Amino acid sequence: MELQLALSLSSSSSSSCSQFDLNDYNPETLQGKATFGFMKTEDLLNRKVRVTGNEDEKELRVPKTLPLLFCNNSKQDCGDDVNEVESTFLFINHKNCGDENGMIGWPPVKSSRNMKLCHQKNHGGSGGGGDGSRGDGRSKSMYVKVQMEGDGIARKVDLNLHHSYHSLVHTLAHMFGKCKEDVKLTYQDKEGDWLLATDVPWGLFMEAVQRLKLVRSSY
Amino acid sequence: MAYSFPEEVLEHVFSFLSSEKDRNAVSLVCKSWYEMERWCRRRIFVGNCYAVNPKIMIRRFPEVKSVELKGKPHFADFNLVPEGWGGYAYPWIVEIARGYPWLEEIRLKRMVVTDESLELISKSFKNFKVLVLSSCEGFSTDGLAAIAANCRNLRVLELRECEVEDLSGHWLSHFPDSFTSLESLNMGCLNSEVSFSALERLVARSPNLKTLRLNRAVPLEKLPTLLQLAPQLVELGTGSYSAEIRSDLCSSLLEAFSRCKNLKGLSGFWDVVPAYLPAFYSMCPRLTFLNLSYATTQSPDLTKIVSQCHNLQRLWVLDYIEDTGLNALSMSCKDLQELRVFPSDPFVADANVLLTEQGLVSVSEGCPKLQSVLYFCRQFSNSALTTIAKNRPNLTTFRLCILEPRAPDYLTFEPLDSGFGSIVQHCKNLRRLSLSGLLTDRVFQHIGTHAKKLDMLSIAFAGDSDLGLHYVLSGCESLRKLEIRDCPFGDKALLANADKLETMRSLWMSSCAVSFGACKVLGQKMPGLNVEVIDERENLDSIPHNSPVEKLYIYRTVAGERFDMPHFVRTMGKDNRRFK
Repeated sequence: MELQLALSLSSSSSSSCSQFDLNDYNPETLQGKATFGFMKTEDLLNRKVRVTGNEDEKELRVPKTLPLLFCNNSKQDCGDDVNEVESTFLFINHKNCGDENGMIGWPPVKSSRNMKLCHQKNHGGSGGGGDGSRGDGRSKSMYVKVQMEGDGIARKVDLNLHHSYHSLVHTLAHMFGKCKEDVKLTYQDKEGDWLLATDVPWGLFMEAVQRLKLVRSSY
Repeated sequence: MAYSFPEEVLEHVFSFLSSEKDRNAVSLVCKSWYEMERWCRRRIFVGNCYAVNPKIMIRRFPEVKSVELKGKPHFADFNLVPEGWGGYAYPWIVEIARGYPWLEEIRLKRMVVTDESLELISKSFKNFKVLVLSSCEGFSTDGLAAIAANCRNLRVLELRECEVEDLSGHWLSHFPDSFTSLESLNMGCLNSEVSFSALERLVARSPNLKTLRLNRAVPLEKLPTLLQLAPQLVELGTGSYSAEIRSDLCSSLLEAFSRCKNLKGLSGFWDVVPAYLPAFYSMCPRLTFLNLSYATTQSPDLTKIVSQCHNLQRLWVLDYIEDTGLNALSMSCKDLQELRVFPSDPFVADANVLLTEQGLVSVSEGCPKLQSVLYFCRQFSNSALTTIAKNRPNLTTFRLCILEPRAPDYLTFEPLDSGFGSIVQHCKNLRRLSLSGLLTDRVFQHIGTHAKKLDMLSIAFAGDSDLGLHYVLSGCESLRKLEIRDCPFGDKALLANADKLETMRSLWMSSCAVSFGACKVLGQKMPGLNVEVIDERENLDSIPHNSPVEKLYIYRTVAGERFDMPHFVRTMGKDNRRFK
């Protein structure tokens, strides 16, 4: 699907813009080659993300200061060409420094509302006074480090924002740009042993967990 | 032949014009009407505090009694706008204090308000009556104490979902004993316990008190006392709605509620203990507004309540109400105009409640006056959307949030383009729309073609290409606010529709594909716009021009670029040496 437009400002615009012809503006002619990831609609429906990488074959580590584009060469097909446009899907993986959720602000519910609800569920409807603390809502955070197998960069996640493995794995999978079907959650307990998270009930997991690691489940 | 009405007559005629649009139109007729109008305008609304500066406002409108300002973009509600971005009230308050000594009303939304600002307000306006702060932050209870202590004629003090540094509840005690003019008090967002006796005495000496919204720290046991003192209340927000089950409390609550013959709106209900719900059943037939969105009680209780609210016009509720409750709503509440269903567990992928698209379909079938919808759920279908559209062509606000981004039609696995297409096609007066689910450029084609009255559009995780954005910008004639996140929209559509941006209040784009270079070009070529790039990455100057920015906020302004920005906000294309 191509954008068929006359890319120029209308002539009725202010005089300072009348000379401006946007047909001259073409991102591809600017320096550097854009490395975008493309996704097919079907793949999206199957929740798979397939990206074409650049010429550099080795797996890219993603340091904090890299731009937003997420390049992963592990699933690259030999025949793919960066310029080949199978679909016009473009996906920017938004990196959030130090944010516990892979996706800030989604779903679009005000955090004050979430906190008040969370409070009620955690404290089981006990009546009387509020906690008298600063009204920014966060009663207690429980940040633990989480790593993706094969990825050098560790992230952090606030476990207190989650009440089940479903929401935690969903969030972590998003954080690392994976599908939740492709990963398994493991954790390190107080004795230093690595265990499979879903083997134990959520409550026990929450008491024991020291750090997390996502491993690929394709074995 | 020169013929005109005497000034006094014109002024009298203009005094009947309350809408800003009408007044703006009148002021364009001729010079004398412009002059006449500007002297008698009493209310000013500034939708973007950076679109104009206060000096310009005061110069043009010298005799204003009420000022309303909005600061941060809407997506700030969802933590998408980093702290320190801006929206400071203080510079405005300083100018207004100087320019409008007889100002009576200040309303601020999404602004940073300091204690200093509040103190200045409390001391600058002799006849100050109304202070409403919505989603504001930056002040503490000390600032509230200043307002309480100094505003002798205060009628309205409302804090709606503000982030307040809660030092203590003592601020309430600063209202002097001689203070009796209170009509509305909303302290729902505060955490600290106020002195109950101070609250009791305040309510007792406020015969005109119509709205009282308590905070969670006020226990249920105290509610009957307050209600006895204020039987004239029209709107009540309870405190915590929980206590050990005692029959004496049950009966005193019941009695107190039944005395409040004018009560039309109820909210609060934190920590609900279902046993106490029947206490207000007698009120239900009179209620027009009910906010149960913090009531974590299950469907049977909720259903019982709504089934008795035959005059209900607005309902805010959690998805605990489920499809069955909404079905009951559709059968009992024929006057319903607004429905908001919030998610009880937004971060869990699997449904924890039996709330589906069917609930909304039922309400759309049964409630002929339904105009405004906000609905969070986990599945939807094109057929449901089309049914809703056909049932309710009178919809003016339709905000649907399917929790999983890019979720397709759960029946056909297709995108939801045709469903939302039906909405814009049938609902010809649609002013506000929020999209969700799997959507291609086609939905934007529908929107651009049909949504001619659309004023505000929110888009997330949607579209295929720049074409989508182009359809919206070129087709939606009435569009004023556009907010977009995580969509593959880039430079082309934006630059091709640069003119359009000057007809809008603002455009927000985050995690899209607009490049630094395009922002710079846009900023250079459009002097009437501020093109703000909000980007917190390090080493921004070494990122190539064709790389996408993190966040972009474009707004029209006559105030020029602002200078109160943090380091991570840059106005592009102005004479800005920091970033080439």
